[in-house]
Amino acid sequence: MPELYDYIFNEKNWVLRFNMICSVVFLLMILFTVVLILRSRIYKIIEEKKTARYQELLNDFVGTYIFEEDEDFKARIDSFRLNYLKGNFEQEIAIKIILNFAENLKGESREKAISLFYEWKLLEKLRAELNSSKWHRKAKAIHTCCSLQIWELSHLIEPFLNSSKTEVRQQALLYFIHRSPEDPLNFLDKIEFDITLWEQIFIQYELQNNYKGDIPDFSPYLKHTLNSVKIFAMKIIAEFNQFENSPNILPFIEDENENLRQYAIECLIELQEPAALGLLKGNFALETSSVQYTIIEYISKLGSSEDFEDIQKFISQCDWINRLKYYKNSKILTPEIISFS
Amino acid sequence: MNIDKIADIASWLFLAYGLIISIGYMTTAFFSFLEIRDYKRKYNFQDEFPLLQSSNLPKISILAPAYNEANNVVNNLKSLLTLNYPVYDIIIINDGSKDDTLLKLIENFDLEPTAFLGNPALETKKVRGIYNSKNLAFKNLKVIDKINGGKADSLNAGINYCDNELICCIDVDCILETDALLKLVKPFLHNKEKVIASGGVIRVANSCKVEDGRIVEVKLPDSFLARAQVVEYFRAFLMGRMAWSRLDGLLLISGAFGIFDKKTAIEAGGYNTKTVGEDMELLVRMRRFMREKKIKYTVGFVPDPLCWTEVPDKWRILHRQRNRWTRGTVETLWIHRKMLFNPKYKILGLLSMPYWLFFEWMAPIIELIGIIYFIFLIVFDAVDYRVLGIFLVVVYTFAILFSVTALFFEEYSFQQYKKPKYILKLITTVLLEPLLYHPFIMWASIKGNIDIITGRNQWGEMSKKGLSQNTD
Amino acid sequence: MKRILIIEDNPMVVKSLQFKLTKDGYTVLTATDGREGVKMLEDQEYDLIITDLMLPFISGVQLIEHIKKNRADTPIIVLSTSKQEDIILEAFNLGVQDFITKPFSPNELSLRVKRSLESVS
Repeated sequence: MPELYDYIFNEKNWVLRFNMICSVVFLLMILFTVVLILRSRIYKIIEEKKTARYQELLNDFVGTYIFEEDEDFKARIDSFRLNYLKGNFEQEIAIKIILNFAENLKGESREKAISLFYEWKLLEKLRAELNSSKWHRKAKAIHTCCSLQIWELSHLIEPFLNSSKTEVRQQALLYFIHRSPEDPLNFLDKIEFDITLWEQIFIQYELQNNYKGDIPDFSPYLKHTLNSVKIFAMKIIAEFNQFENSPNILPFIEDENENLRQYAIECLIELQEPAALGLLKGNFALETSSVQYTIIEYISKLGSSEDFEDIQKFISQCDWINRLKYYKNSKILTPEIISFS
Repeated sequence: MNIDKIADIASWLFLAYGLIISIGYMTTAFFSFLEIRDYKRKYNFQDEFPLLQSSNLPKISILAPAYNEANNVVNNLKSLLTLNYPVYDIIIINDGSKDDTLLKLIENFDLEPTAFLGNPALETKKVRGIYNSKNLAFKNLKVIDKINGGKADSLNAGINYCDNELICCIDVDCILETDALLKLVKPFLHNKEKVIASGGVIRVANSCKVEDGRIVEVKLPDSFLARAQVVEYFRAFLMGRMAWSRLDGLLLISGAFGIFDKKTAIEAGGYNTKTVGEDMELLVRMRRFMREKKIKYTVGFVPDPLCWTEVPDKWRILHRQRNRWTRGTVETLWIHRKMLFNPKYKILGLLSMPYWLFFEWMAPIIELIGIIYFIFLIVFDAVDYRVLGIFLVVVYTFAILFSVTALFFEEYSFQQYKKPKYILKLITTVLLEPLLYHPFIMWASIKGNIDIITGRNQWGEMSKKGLSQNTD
Repeated sequence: MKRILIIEDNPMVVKSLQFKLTKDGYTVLTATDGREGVKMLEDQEYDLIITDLMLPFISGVQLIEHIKKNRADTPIIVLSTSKQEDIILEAFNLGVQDFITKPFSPNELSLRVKRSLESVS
């Protein structure tokens, strides 16, 4: 080795020296990476075993606590915390296990599981996670708060409604939907930038499937400052069939924003509101491509073949996608149709 | 100007090129790592799939060109019909097959011809007929029969006559994961800006166990050639495209599996039928189109393995494929040469295109020049074997390092190859690849360049075994 | 003592069921996936089977079909989430006794188990 070292560093030609040093560095890095690969594989196996052992321990303890009514657990809880919940790894698994119990059980058993969370002073851990600089830790903590219905930390979670990180924002939205049963969407007032399609799907899903309260009237959100919230309100009015809100949707078909016009028409289609037919036919010629497409859809669902004939003269000026849509829905024969003999 | 002087300058140039390429690779490794780490951390706390099923996801039209696929088309189509996605349809474009591809489709899926609209947006070779199914079970299937025009031409015909807002272009013999569409559509849902395309990682299906059109067991390919391509794909996807996606400079979404916004594709002009690299050329053109229209947009990339394809396991066929890829790269770079170093195109013009030009395209040429230079030195008896030895060692160790890092990324992210013996086999392949595989690829690339200059420009016949034969 | 077999891949759910039913005085055995469940059914007889509808390797419905073929008299209670209405319906068509949706109340489960066992004897 010393000879090799001498050989390299006494080389006069610096290019050669540089290349030799690089070779050695690369070789060391290769060995390091190979070790990393093997270690990664082995580490995964060891980690999995360790986690499984720990989960078993916790499952046993929590299960016993929930289902054993006679014993006095206070001392045992404290001793468990001091012995087994010292580090981050252990605390994270404990939270995960309690979450699992809380998500799958209901009634008294669930309450007991959550009480264990407080007894083990895991709230402090959550608080620390919410203040962490790492987005994935924040997101996970918010999710836990939501599942365990920990509302006392909502002041810490509220700023995340406008987080630039998708995952964090998503969890914050979810949290606030569950936070107020009477008004699940009141967090929308605190949103400062547009909600994405994914977030809309997400919120809609929660309202349809996991939300247990009464479905509120969504029309107030049609007056929101953000267009995406207005669009979302329209979608959700359609989804929940709040046809009494049709009069509130109608004005949007003449809004200056193209997206609002488009979604308003889609909403009216879902609500089966034919009142806009005349106006839409009248506006067809001057409309943008996307809105024209939606108008054709409107006529095919709520109009008649006469209505299709009324706009036929404008179709040749439309783009291909709209011409194709028109033909498919109206089935009106034009010279452009190619059929089999 | 004597030999020594020339040798000196040449050395400096090669050294500079080598340094830049090394720094380039290390940078992409760094960004790829961040991207993979972030992707792993997306916990998906809620089970997302019921969520995605029950909602108003964008509708997708799958476009699958077929040429002489009578053996496979029915089976492949059956697996496409069982994908997990709320609303989608499938358009098979029979590109003037000489065998009975169309007949097989008509018989098996109860097809009948329908009338259709002429004068479509994108010009294609003549469409002879469009077929729908009489059977309600296949109501989301459409077959377009047209005169042969090539893959790009077929895809354009598919774009013309499909109904949905997103198009998914696939190779009909690729195997998709059941949830592939759900995962690949995700970038379109995070629409802070308009998303024009989304691509994923392509995996090597050779030797894998396939049942009912799905991969049931992942195995490392038996042949060295296919294994070398596994390593190559790791480098390309896990270290290349991930980094580019993070920098928003992705130039290529694989033609094997990608989703595009239909309207933008039509407005940008559809696929270019005059190039063999139509997948890369389309994305570059779409990006350029959006940039020129000054519309904010983004391109998504999903690192999950979603699509499996059979790679060539014969040298001759591999040569044809790489030859074609080189010609495609050159054609795309030439068509869009205006973008090179042009700040108007931001990352695309200042980083991505130059990278493709100097590294993806030029690297084999520089290597060839290096070999010629070496021969030149031998002729003039000017070879310093010590220098040569050290140079070869440094190049070899760097190549191994890069590949081994790609293996580590695979281990860190998806570990598709679970058996421990696979890792050892892969490491062995990594050690042999620069010696046995790389020179061949380099030669195929050079030949591609020669063919472009001499004017040869076809796809060439690609024969495929058919994946259904890979069952134990 | 009545013997109950639980086929469920979520260890927490298994633990909860085990705790509750053992306290109620039953002998409880568990399997973590469909394949293991089938094996255990081949080896021994049980007075009641509680199975999840979403299991790895074999679907809950396939498992129920198998049980009904081989141990037609054994009552079955299925565990599912409330989103799986069509699968629950299919399970009922195959002859299961009862179903419990998650999240579940252990007390309610106890009652249903008791009822199912009584309905058979």
